[in-house]
Amino acid sequence: MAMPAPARSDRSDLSEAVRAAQQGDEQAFRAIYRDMQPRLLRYLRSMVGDDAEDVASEAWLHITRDLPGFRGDSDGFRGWAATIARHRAMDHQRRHRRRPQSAATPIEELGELAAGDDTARSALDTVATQTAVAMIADLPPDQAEAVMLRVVMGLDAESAGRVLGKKAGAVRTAAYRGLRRLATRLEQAGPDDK
Amino acid sequence: MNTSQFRPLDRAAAEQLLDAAAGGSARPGDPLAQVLAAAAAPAHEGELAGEEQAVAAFAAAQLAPPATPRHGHRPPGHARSAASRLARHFGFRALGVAAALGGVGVALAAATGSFSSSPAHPGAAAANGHSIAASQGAPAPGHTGTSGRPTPGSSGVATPGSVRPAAPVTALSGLCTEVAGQVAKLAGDAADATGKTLSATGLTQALARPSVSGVLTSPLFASLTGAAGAATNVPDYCALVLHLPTLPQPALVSALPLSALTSLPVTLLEQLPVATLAKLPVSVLEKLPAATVAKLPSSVLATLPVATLAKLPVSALTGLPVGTLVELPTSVLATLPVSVLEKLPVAVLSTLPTSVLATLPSSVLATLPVSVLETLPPSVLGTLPSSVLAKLPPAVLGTLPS
Repeated sequence: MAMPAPARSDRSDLSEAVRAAQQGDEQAFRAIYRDMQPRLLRYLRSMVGDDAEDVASEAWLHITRDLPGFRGDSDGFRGWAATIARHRAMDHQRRHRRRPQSAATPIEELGELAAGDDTARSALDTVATQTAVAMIADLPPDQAEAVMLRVVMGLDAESAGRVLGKKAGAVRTAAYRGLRRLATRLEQAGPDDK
Repeated sequence: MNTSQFRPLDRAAAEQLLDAAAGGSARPGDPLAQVLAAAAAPAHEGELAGEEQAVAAFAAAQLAPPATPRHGHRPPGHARSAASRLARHFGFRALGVAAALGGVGVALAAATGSFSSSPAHPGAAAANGHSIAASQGAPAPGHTGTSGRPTPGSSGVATPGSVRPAAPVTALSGLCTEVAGQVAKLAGDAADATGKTLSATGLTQALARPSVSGVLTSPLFASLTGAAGAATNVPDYCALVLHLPTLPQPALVSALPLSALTSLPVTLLEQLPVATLAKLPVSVLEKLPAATVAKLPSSVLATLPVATLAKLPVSALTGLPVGTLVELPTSVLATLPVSVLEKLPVAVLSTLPTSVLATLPSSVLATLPVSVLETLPPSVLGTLPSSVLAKLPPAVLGTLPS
């Protein structure tokens, strides 16, 4: 299938789909879901671990219910949906008084997966993604959220700041610190640690 | 493969990494970039599993009246007027509506086309995304098309005719399939090493082969071996994860570590042999269906919470120690056979309904307090020895026959 300029889903513009979905267009909603659900799931996994699917379902109930009232562009929509998901996650954390841990592939394996010599198979891709998300989830919460919103939700620092209730500068700092911590951890996990 | 990046990451470089990852590219050889790119990778099989449920919620929301305004998203009072304004707007411009809808349709096709070629193949998105990554200089192009790389349209969907029980796709099930695939290919049973074309029988066969241990030495499977506890546990562990109908090595199931068993879904747990189940923690056992729990030895049942026990069939309860029985609700106790009830302390018996007490032998009834005896029907009281009857008030005695 011939692709136009690298139109990766992270940069795809949801504005039209959102407007159409607000009019009741089901296909438009599906397009939104397919763009947003993987992002929401991974973002939520960094907050509530294995309960991400349940919390995401709750988030979609709110998103579909409040969709008619949303005003904004594609980035605004992503931030809006992320905020809804975040609130559901915080409700969940309050109810369960803990942050559930999900089983993460040992960090030492990630180097091998990332190197992925020949055929990158979908099972390994899934593990690579889950491992990466789990690594980010291990960061202090504010750093984890900043990194996930920037990288997975595709938000800029301003939009991420609106989701988190922080200034853009604070988001940038948190993300920066998160990356430095990740870099340190990766440097420490050499190929000999098996 | 872990190139040490001794450059201290500065803010500008960090921003570049974040932008690059969000945009879908990652410099090969940079572990941090790879981690971020993996986190931002296109949708995987299983991540879109809830689509129909979400669409149903969307459809339901269309029928419901507009939600009450929520602060931050909608100014109060605009709930209905926004929708009706839009309706009037489109209604007034009949021709404009067609044009507007046509425009939306085209934009939509572009939007959907960018990440999924057809609704039922979310895996195609992964394939498309990675062919882009390939063209951007990540691991050698030509991936799409080599054996094992899912091609659009076929990824994630069982080939027609394959007899594969529908198990949820998880990282572990993917790894299990991979192991079976490699073993099958080595044995000459399969043309490719992914395991995706193997039937349930083929998977079980492959997992039972001795060559599994050799395949498992690859670091790619380290997390699977870790989850199963040991390489020797992997065949049975994978059989459970993949919902295979038979275990490749039934004799070894009891060796599976608790940590492996407790993370399995209930549908798999209930297939385990009783001896294995008996080792599971209470928190897991109480989730099992009553029929399965009922098979556990009484010593194990005695540790389960009352709510779980109350759902068990009588046959399972009869073996419970008295100390456990007395905690069961009266409604459950009332169903127990007399032989069990006899053993219960008086305080508990006194709470049982009259109809149940009436079935107890007089030797037991004789131990009950007068306040309870008074409530028993005369026909029952009549069987009690005089020494007991003497304790009853005259008014009650007066009702007895002869």
